[in-house]
Amino acid sequence: MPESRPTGEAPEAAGSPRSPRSPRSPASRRVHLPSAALAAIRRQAGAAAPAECCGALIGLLTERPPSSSSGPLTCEEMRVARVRPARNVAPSPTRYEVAPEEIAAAEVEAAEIGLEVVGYYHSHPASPPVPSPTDLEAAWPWYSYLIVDARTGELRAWRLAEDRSAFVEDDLRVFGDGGA
Amino acid sequence: MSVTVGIPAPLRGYIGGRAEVQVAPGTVGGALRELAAAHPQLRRHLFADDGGLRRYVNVYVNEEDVRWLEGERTPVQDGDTLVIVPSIAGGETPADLPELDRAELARYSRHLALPEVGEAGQRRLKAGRVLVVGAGGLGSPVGLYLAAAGVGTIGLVDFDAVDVTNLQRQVLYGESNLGQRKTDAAAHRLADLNPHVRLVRHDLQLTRENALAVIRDYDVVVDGTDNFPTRYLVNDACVLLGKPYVYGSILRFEGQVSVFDGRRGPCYRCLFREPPPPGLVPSCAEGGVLGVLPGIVGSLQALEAMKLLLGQGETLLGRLLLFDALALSFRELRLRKNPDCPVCGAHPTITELIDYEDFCGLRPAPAPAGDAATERPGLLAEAPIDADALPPELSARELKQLLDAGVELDLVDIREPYEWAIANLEPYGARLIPLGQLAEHLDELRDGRPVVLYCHSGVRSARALAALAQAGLVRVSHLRGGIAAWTADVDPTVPRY
Repeated sequence: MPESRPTGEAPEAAGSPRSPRSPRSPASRRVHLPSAALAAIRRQAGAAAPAECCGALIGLLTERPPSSSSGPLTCEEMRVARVRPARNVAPSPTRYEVAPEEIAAAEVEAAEIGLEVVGYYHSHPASPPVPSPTDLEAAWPWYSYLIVDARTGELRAWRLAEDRSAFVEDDLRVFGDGGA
Repeated sequence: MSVTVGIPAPLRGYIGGRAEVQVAPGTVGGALRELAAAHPQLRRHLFADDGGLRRYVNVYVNEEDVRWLEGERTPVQDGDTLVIVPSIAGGETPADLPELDRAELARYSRHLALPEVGEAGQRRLKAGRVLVVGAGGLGSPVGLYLAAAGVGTIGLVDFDAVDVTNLQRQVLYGESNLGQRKTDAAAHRLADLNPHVRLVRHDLQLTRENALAVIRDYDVVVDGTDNFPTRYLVNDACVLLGKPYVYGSILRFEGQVSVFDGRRGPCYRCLFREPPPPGLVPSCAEGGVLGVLPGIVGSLQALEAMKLLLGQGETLLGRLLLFDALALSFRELRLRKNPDCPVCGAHPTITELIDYEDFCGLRPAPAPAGDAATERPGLLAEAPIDADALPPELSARELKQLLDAGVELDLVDIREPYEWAIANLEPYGARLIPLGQLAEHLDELRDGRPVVLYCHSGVRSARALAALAQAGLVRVSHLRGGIAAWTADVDPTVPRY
């Protein structure tokens, strides 16, 4: 279940078009992941263990207008089309860092198919898929961060709270045959 | 005109969804502060609490990373493009690292007092797994310091037994260990030093068949061997598995240390694509080694392994540290990743382990370069200087004059091959005969052209000159001040080291 952050703001955007790039955290965000991508992330995490693995999420962020079910606030829909494994260049076994040239390559690959890099995933080889303080320190807004527990395969989706104080969990939905 | 700033996707929401904005010229820091002033919500994502740029913000000016320019002070002018690129990083929380019990907290209290280590760092060390290849001169201090520091798992690879000739430098062992397997004796000693450490004995010789399986279970590999096949084997296996490789080597009074990691920088093959011809570099058994030297080099390797586990400090990745015990000097060479490296380059040709004995044993020696001088056009003119009357010592400028005058000389570099690899006078016709092999070339030197010896600073060549003179060579001289003087006085393009 998504934890929506209380914003305490007037629903000024209701009924008016709003960019999905709004700096304001949406009421909620759903992240749609193809089951094949889930399987690929799990495989990569298992092969990399005990090191961490990482990669880019290529997809599209759209916005669902306010509805009776979501209340007056918008809900973002992040659709992941494919995942792109990246080299982990972090010097430590309990850290990850996407090789800078792979960030650029992922952007190029996404642009070629009319999409964009909407987030990144990484594995926790020996702990639950919950963001660590290191993850928080390094995080960027807007991106979706998927974390997989390499031991169990459990996968959860997170996004940085606007004030950088914490991560907000997104509603991760796997679709396609053989989904989790 | 103004400066264009490229905004990455995660930040576009703060500037109305635009991918770029214009700011006034000035500096990188000024441009980004102007941006943050216009869009206050950007500030916390770009700047840290201390006002500096967050370390996860990479900035490129006209496609150059500003870290290699002047950082925030890098100037930006009209027409320049400044691009903000997010760095994507993170890591498992220290809370998931193994706990320290009361006894460990006491044992490691001096580490815990260091903010750069602390409890989180000590737990990282406990979670860390280091493979020490070779439990000898280098492996001794590596094993002792890593075990004492609380590295949780230490693997020891060796197939040898303790011999009396080891005790001059292999401080893991004592008289009581003579004849024992090194892995057994070392594990016993390290377990006594720190019972909290898990010791894994690999009583074997690393080969292409077993190397990947052994190395796979470790986070860092420390090489304490002194032979080329193992060095290339360990390097290639580390590149294939994506592990950092802490390299060390010693001979006589000199040592080298570096960290190789094909994922993030150069690997050993980027530096030495192929091994020297067999026999060219003597082993420590042949050439000798000062007892304390492996203590120094091995301690540096242990230090680098700890920094890799801690994720702290600047490692020697991309740098080769050269230590000269007699001069007591450290020098440093910048190493670059070779984009065409056969194992870690963009298009590797080595994608699995090969036969390293073969690779290191069947390479033909490079053709001697000594004849090059006679082939250089313009230098075959008559020689006005009597080569038979060479003074025993030549300054760099005097030697240059002789060469320019076309005097046919046998310019012999008596340094070690690794020094030759760093800088040499091959363009002037020099050839390499390491000091240890001069004796084998006596007849050839005696019968050939007048010989001019050189080394790094003129000390070794003076000694060699005396030896050759004693052996009956008369037409022999040496370069005063060595290749260093050549760089200073004749050709500044010859690298210093």
